[in-house]
Order: sequence, then structure tokens, then C-alpha cells
Amino acid sequence: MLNKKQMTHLKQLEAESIHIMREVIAEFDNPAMLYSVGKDSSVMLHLAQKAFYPAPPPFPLVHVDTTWKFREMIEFRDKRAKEVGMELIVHINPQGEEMNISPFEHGSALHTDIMKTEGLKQMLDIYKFDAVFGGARRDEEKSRAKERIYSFRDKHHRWDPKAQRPELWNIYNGRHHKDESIRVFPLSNWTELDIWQYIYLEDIPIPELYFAKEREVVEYGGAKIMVDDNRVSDELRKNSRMEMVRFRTLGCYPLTGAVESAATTLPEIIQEMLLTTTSERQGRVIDQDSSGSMEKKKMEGYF
Amino acid sequence: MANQSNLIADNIEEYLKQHENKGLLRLLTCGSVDDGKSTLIGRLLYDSKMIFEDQLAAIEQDSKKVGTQGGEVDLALLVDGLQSEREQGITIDVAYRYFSTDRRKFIIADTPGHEQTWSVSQRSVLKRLKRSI
Repeated sequence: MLNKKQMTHLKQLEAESIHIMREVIAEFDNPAMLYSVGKDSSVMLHLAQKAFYPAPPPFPLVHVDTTWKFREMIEFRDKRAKEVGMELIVHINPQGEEMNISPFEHGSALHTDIMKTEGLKQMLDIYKFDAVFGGARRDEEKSRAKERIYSFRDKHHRWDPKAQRPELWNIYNGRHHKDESIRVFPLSNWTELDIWQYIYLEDIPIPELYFAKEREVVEYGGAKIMVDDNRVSDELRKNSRMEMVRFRTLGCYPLTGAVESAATTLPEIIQEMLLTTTSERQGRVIDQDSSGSMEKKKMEGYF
Repeated sequence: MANQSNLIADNIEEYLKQHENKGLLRLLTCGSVDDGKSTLIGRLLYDSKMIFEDQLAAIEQDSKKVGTQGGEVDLALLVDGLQSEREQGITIDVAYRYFSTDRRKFIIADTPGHEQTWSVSQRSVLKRLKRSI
């Protein structure tokens, strides 16, 4: 066990994340934080508050809204931004909105490409952010396991996995030319368990969707999705049932699979997570398109 | 899926309390090309039950296509996550993987063995390091 001088693993992870955030603020002109409303974003926001306390974090929160997020997520987003006193910038891809892009009709790949990746790139072009924090973790997915904490992007927002900069110890290289930028992942070294344990210890607010509740669900695309609004076709809705479910990750509701669960408290959620045999991304339809799909999306400019 | 303990099912709060006081250890692999660095790490993760079913199913599928173990499950694919690494059967860039025991959280950096896969900038850093040592 630890002696008094040593820090616990969570304290060390916390210190590392705070150090990364302060480095970015010192080095970059126009940083922002991508706030996706999920548990990782919640932890990231909490760390940002600690890093700059008592001032609110000196950058805006940005959210790329696909118009298909759970309604509860949007409410939670607006409430949290107000509570922490940060500016919230929301961007929706106007062309996508005009075309009425829908994951039901156009499929998950096209929907994600237009509403998420394109929407994100548009937003970055409009606001000219030179550093954007994201809550991605390396244990989530195999190409993320390969990514630096400062993930360099060219002027087209592309990631080049074959030309990553060296990153030694806690020395981060933030040099960049005009129009180039970096994505920063302060939670790179956290695992799913670390995140939950930290939420539990620090009492960090997270959306109710993570906790089990009776919700209306239907089978769609091999997953159980929640009927969140009336854009779910009547055809599908015919077979809907009320079930005790919760979500392990949050995204667009037609693309996010619910899991049957009775976990209504944080320890119960953690218990369930430790006993499960599938990864959290299994509930996400977009990752299963093909073996290298995340890497491909990143090279196109996705987070 | 951190580690196996009866406490998880029996008394989760006690388990969480125990795991609040873990240390952190970072380690890396070193070795020549095809020594089996990635395969070793893959095996470690596999044996410590750190691989989720859906991840293992994906690896089994990929092993048939790009595996180096003649149809057997190629555990190096757990760390060689980039498309070009899988196609060429080598590690091109460092990968980070995580596991933990009751006492420690581990961060493993799995590194490439080919000198050529190191970029010019990485090599210059290494040279400078060698000189300073």
C-alpha cells in the first residue's frame, strides 16, 4: 500500500490532467473545451474548474449538436454551463439541418459524418480555436490508444497517425503554424473505472440517463434504443416496451444502445461495470461499421 | 473489468474503499523487432481478463485477415491498433494500455522495435538523450 508521501492513482491522474490544462492555457491563444455532456466530459469540466479555481475556466464550452441527442442531455448541458459560469457555444451543421439528416433514414455513418465530423470542422473554422480539449480516453478504442495527449491537426483538421510528434514525460509540444491546431486529451490515461471512481469520490453531477429507470425502448439496428421523441416511426414504436434500463455511454439516441439494469446508485453502476463482459463502446452503433472506422474518422477530422 | 475480486459482487462499497488507495506504475516494453513485445502485452491483458468479449471477437475476426499467428488469435493486434500496423504486422508507434490490480494501476507503453519507424524528430530526441546519459 501507499506511504503518506505517495499520491493515490486518482490524485496522480488528477494532477496530470490539471497540469495539461494549465499548459494549454499558457501556450495557446484561443482554446475551447468540447463538452459532450457525457461522464467523461463531466469529469473533464470538474478538473477544469479545479485547475483555475476560484476563477471559472478561461475558455468557452463548445457543443456540436446533431439535433438527435437525448433531450435530457441538452437540458443538463444548459444547466451545467450556467452553474459553472462558462460561455456555451452550440453549433449545428446548417446544411445538415436543411437536409433533415436522420440516423433512421440516412444511416449512422452518413449522419455521424455530416452532423458530427462536418459540424465540428465548421465550428472550428468559424471560431478559429487553436486548441480544443476533448474527453477521449486511450482505453476506449484501439486507435485512441495510439494518440498523443496533444494530438496535432493540420489546417484541414486531419490527424496523421504516421507523423505524430514525440511526447516525452510531461513535456508537451504546442508549436503550430497559423490555421493548424491541436486536440488535447487530458483524460488520456484514465480508464472507465477511474472515471466512475472519481465521479463517486468527488460527487460530480452526471445526467440521469446513466442511472436505471423505467424507459420506453424499442429494438433497432441490433440495439435497444430509447423512444426519446416522436421522430421514432410509428412502425417501430408499435413494438415499444417499458423496461428498466440505463446507458453506459451517451450520444444520439437512435445510435445509443440501452442496457437492462437495476443500478440506481453510483456504487451499483460501478459494480455492474466491473462485472460486465463487454466494452462500453459496444452500445455505440458507429464503432462497429468496420475494423478501422475510428481511425478513419479521426483522419477526416473527428475527435 | 479491472481485476477479479469476490468483493465486487459481495460488497462494492468496501471494494471501492480499497481501490481508492492504489498507487500508479508506468512501464514500457523494450526490445528488437519481432521479439514479441506487443504479443507479450497482448497476452498479459488477455490472461488478466482485461479484454472484453466484443473486443476479443473483433481480434479473432482480424486475426484471420491480418494475423501473424497462422489463423490462431494474434494477441499483438490488441496493441497494434493502427491500420498500417495491422497490415504490416509491426508496431509503428507507441500504444498505451491499462490494467490494475488490488494494489496498483498500471500504464503500459508498448513501443516499436524497428529503428526506421521512428520519425526523424523522435530519433533526434533519442540521440540527445543518449548524449546526456
